[in-house]
Amino acid sequence: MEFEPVIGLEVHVQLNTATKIFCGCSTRFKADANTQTCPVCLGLPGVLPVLNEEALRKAIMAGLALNSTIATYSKFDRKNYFYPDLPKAYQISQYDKPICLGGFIEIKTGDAAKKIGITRLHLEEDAGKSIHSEDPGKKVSYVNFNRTGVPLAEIVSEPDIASSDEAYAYLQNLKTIMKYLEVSDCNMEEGSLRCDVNISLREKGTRPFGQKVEIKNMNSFRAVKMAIEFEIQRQTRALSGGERILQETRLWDANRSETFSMRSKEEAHDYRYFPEPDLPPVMIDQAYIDAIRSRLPELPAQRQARFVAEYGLPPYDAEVLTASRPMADYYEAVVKEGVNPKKASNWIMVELMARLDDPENVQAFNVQPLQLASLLRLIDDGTISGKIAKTVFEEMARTGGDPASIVKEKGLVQVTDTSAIEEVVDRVLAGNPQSVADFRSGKGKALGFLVGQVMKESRGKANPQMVNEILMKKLS
Amino acid sequence: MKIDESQILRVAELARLDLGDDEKKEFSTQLSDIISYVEKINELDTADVAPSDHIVELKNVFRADTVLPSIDRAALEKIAPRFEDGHVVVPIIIEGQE
Repeated sequence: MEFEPVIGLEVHVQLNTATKIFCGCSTRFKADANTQTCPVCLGLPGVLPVLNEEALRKAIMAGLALNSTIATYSKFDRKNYFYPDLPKAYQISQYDKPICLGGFIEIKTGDAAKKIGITRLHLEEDAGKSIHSEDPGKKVSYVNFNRTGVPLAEIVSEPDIASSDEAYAYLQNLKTIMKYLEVSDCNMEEGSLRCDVNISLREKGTRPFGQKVEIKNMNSFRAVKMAIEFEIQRQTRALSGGERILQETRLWDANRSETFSMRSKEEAHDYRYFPEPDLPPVMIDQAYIDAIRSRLPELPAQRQARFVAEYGLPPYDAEVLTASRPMADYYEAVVKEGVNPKKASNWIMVELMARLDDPENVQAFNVQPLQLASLLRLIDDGTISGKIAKTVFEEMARTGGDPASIVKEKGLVQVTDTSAIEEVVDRVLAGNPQSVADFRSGKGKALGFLVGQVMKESRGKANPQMVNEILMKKLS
Repeated sequence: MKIDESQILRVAELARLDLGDDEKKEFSTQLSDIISYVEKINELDTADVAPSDHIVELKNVFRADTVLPSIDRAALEKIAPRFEDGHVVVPIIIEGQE
């Protein structure tokens, strides 16, 4: 029997507000443990939570970018469960009336485009962070409440995802959109983006879903992909062997590259949701939503389409350049200097990206747009060859230097003086009589060798086109 | 309405409480009495009343995203049952792989 996976993702995105969702404590990430708490986020008796409006606005921005419907009436509820990093023993969340409903993200895997449906986006507060003692004899965990009450947008997808590659593409696109909106840092290692997977298998081509399993504890998109692949194999094996799949939560073990079952006691939950009496409902009108819509930046898909239309870039270039907003901004800053758009794209995609770990950090790169534009102009006006330009770029990337000064200092100006090139050509012809003979007897390949020798002699500085012309003249 | 022992066990499990046999009986009786008392409210005819999420007529109570001082860590240390190296110490939560 053949099976197909049915996958839905739950993504928690930390909204990058200055303060927590219901109190004025700072959300700074690297603060000392338990220095950013107050009676509200610690859940002490008699306190009153008040909604941070910026968290609401950012959630609405995210919803608009995900093509969701923004609810004009939404409210908060208490989700009850016991866990040491949840000091109130309930999490304030949104249950039946979330701020955003419906929507989709468009993904591409290979050449196939697909819409992955969004079920909902709701606001909630984050829990604290527990660190488990590495000393098994101690049997303790350490709790830090700095994260307690940091605003989260939970984005739930429809079970539309059919492979690990689609899940990966969905996460990439979701992250890119959130980064464009500047509503979240989306740093999985720091936990500002977290992803849980719901996965089941069903008989291929049939409708009913199989028993689903939840997987948690992945700290990279790659880990999500691997966990899905592992789980597809595990469930396929189990079902093929006539076993039943248990509904359970499994954790990803990055060291062993496998999922394992969480102890069932941890799962004994009955959330007993009920309306949060301390927070009045959120009732907004169309004008409020429109004002936020007007704050939306150009989104990745729109920008990609514009790069193709406005700069004549191949779709692939446009996709790579717009995958991060700082990189797309960088590219446009170069083009604005009058550089040929395709040439700028080639240089960024080949030379620049090879020297940059994360396109998000391009603003800190040693070669800034104006400098790259000047370098490309030096090629256009014949001062240096494209090949030499690569050497200059290397130097710029290393030192942050100005291209014109580097060319001058290192004596890299292209030789366009006919007599100087002729001199080198004569020397090369005299030194390689065999190649000259080969060429004359019809072996065209010998010309390439001779050109190479001339370029080598001139340390790359001779104008290649002139070298070609002069060689041809002398050989005929 | 009668709250039987299996319901008591379920609630005890959710609350991570270990109840003795006497306690199970005692709470079963007490909770049944309380629910029966409150059940009187069911006599009200609410057919024409729209459900409400909230009892106060308020909406959109927001605060600006402005940082306010947090409390001193020493204050948290004082109310925590156990505190070490800046952290609240609790019994271990996950016991790992089976």
